[in-house]
Amino acid sequence: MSQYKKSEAVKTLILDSAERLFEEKGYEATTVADIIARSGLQTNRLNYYFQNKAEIAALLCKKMFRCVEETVMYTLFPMTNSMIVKDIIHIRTLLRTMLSKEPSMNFYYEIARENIITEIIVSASYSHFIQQREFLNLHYDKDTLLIYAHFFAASIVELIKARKEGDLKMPEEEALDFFNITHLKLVNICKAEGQAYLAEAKQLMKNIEYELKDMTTVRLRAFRADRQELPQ
Amino acid sequence: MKRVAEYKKSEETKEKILDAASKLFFEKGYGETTIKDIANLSKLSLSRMNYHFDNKAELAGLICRMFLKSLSDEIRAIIKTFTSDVILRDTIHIAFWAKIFMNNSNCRNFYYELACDDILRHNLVESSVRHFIDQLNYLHIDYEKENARAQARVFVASLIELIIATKEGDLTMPVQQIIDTYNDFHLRLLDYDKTKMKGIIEEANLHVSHIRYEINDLMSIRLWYSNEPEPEEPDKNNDFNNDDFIYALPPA
Repeated sequence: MSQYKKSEAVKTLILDSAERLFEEKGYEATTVADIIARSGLQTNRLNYYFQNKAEIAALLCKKMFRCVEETVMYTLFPMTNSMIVKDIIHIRTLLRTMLSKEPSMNFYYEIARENIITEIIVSASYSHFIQQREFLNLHYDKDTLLIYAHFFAASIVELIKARKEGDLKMPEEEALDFFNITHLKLVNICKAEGQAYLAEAKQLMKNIEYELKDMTTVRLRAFRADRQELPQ
Repeated sequence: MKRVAEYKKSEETKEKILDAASKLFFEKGYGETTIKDIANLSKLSLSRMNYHFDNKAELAGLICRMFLKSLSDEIRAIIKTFTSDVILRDTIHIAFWAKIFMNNSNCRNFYYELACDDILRHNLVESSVRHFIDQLNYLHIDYEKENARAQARVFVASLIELIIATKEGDLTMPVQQIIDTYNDFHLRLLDYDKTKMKGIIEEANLHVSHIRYEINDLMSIRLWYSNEPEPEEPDKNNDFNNDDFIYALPPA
């Protein structure tokens, strides 16, 4: 095996071990020593790959974001052309992954409190806003979009915190609706228009099955209206 | 009578502690100040202090709420003299609020520290829920209570994010642009008429430029309306960029 491949394999091993531990014990309770022990590494080698626990958590979080983005794109490609509908489903899938079920909910809550998530969402949503600027007819400069990306990230993090802390007792579906509408308002779509898009997205989602495999892996499967699985 | 006297005494002690804490937070910063410093300055034993307040965070939270109440009372008294439009009032309020948070260095540091410690969030939510309910009623928009709560939370979280990101250098555009974008977001949350948004924000900014302030501690603020608009303050964020730019130039 080449040196590069070997090092990638060790990295993956560390990430996987850390993910299992975060799942079992939570982020805060897991120590770097636990991760080293679980990966069967020599003590000094973890530092060679990662600076600290926060960096590992950030990578896992990014992995989940990537996974959601890919599965949403892939699944929706034959189903709709509407960028807005895709966005709605994208955001719902993300939030659902972070909000609906333990131990995932706890993990994302803990790393939200450590300010690990905000930065990741800021950079992801900023490039997203930039990409969509023309499509959505947003006449904003890049600076404004960067500020929006900060609003968007802060809002998601707040939602994760507030749900876990027991504030915002609305049913999950309503919380997701609220969030979708807020996002659409940012990209210049008012509430009434937004609700029409939301209805369209939800109609589509009736034929999509959501599965959370582990804290960072999400699968979507699309069915035809007659419940036949769509060919992948 | 004895009970009343005791109550009074206890209130006086509390005030003494708050004064001392506010002074120290203002001068040294929240993080640098210890509970012991506060006890020393208010000439109380640590155990007496603990009887009144559980910890530093509780003190900071109270000071923050007192400041915002003072700011809100003062600004409403001024605005009342020229408009009864609730949305214009709150747009001015937000613009002024954000300006103090981002431009006044003592406030900026204090609120940045509270923001990082997650203290600010809890202390702003309840008052901003009331604001949103006020505004939604004024605009005759039907709402559910939980939804107004969610809006208020998003609104507060976004402000806190701005305080942190500005201080940490992630947002380097002019402060005025940040404030305008924040106001614009607030109006969007309220589904305010898009065609009127720009106008109302400009009107609010014009008023803000007439409002002068004086801050001597972190518990209160004094405001007055001047007939002259304020001369343009050098923008903190811009200043910083220009300096960088000058230093980056090769020597002639």
